[in-house]
Amino acid sequence: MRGLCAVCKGSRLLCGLKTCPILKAILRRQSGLSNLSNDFSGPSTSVFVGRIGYPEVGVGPLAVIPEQTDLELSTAHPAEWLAMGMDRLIELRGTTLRARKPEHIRSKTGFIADLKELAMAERPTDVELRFGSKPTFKFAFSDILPPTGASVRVENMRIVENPRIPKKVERIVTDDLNAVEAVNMLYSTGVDVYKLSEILSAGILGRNRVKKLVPTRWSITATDDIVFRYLSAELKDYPPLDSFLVYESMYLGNRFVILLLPSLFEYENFEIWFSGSLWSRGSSSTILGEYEGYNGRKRYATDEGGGYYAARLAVAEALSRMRRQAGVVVFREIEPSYVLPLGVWVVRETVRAAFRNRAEKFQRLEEALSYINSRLLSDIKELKVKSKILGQRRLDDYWR
Amino acid sequence: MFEAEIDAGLLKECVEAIVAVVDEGKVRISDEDLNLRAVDPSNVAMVTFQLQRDAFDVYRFSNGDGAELEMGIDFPKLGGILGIGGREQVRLSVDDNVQKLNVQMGSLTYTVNLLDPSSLRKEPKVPELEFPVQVVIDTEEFRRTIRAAEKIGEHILFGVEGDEFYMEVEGEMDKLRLGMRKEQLIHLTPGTLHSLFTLDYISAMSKGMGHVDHITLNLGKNYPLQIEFEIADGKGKVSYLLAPRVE
Repeated sequence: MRGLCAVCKGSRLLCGLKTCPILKAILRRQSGLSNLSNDFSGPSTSVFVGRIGYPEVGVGPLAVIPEQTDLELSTAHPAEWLAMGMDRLIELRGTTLRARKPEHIRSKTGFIADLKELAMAERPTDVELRFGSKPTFKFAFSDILPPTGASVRVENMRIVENPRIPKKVERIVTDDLNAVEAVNMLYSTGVDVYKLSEILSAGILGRNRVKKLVPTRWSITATDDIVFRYLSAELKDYPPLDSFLVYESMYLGNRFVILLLPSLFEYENFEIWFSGSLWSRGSSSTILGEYEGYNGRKRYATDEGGGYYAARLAVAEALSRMRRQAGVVVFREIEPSYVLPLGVWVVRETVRAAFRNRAEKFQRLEEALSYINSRLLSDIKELKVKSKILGQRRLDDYWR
Repeated sequence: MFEAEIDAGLLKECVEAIVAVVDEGKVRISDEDLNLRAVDPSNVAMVTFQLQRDAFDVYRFSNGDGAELEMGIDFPKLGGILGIGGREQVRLSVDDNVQKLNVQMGSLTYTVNLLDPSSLRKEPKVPELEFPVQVVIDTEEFRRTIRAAEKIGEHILFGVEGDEFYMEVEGEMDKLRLGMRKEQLIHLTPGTLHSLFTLDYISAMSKGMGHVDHITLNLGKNYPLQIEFEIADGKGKVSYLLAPRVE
């Protein structure tokens, strides 16, 4: 059960139960805040596409209740959320309202057309919503998505101001590009993955014939993967690093220690869920590892899921700025204090933050590993034996 | 100028043997043979390949100064092209500035752009290795064990204990061991040693062995593994080298 929970993270219900008991316990504790009426007027910050019932899914705007929130902070880039503690973050996300209407992923209703506008807008856009019932607060947590405060069925939506859509976005999305090309172009003009995944999810990208909505959960990881592939093609033309670098960062019980090795690109990601942490309820910690070689991976990283892709993207961004390639081993230790899953942005932003810190530099692998051992709670010897990268000798060890 | 004709099946076998380790590499063409030496991007596995001119039905090579020609090849692509044709003869020709390879199968001619050899990774040096133990084993027996091992774990132990050769893989729950005594093998140097390897690499190599009926394993203690075999009725040679894992 313990290993199963770490792999599932409450998302795939691998245990066979109808709902995740861990998530449910958390939900019960957090429910019951205040009530709203059937009519709503306020800013829509984003759009949300569900995955349950695919290809008939719940779709709608993600709104915030203006009187109850710090609008600026709740719509800020997730990098700025790193300054907040868990409580503040939950409070902030608790004021988000997920309005949804059942739609087919290929639906072309006016409601969907309006949603596309909201998804492309660079700033929150004021909307009026009529709900099917009174919304009640009910927190939703996930390993991939940031938490949301409430979910309610929406009957009608009216956009009450002109969404501000950046010219470059407008231009690229009206070209008949496939989704991968469009994501790459948007990214290279400076659109960050958060906006990109929203645009992808709203069914704006792709050849005209095959445009469709993409569940938000899938679009987040798809975007991380597409942008990574774009960066990695370039990366492989860069010279390898000439020394060992170690980067580090910590956020809400998630400790990242990242080792870059002077070699061609290869990537390994460890998740060490300590005993008593969210997805490891047993008496010992659960260690997961995923690896890909220079030529990349073909299969989904099932054991680690979205976190693997989010960290890999942030690493590729950093290497791309350095104009170097490297072998990469990411160690993520998750302490019991990470009591709620907050979404995969935690991984992406904490890794991005690590590369904003100064690196420790070493000339020899053994020195780098002994430093890492002093930074991690886990034993590096145990991880080294499990590691595809660190546990493998190289032919050039024998060239003498 | 290089022109040659060869059996399609044999050429496919050569490509498969190389692709087991690398996707791209420099094939050198000389008066005597085609040869290649390449290491995988992670610097863990190496392939050395040689195919003599008499393995070809037609082999014409002329280069003004008698030097070798270097041809940068994308092997999965070449393999794909060969997959289109049947088991007929394949005619290969390379233009003078070595930019295009023509692959002619019956009335079908496929022209592939070659890779610029200077854009490819440098050829590895050949390490000077001494292997105390040699094992010659039936290929099918070897391949069957590797296939079974893939279901169990990620690492495989190759060892010799007295006059027994063994392959051993341990998963979380299961363990698999193949033990073969000297008389069940074609050849064995007795000894006591073992080395641990990443199974992925060996699986790939086992798929590069085609129809070869036996292979030679050269082993040491916590040391690289060398796998050698002959192709084209002894007119060609393939050798793999694989670095061990830390134990």
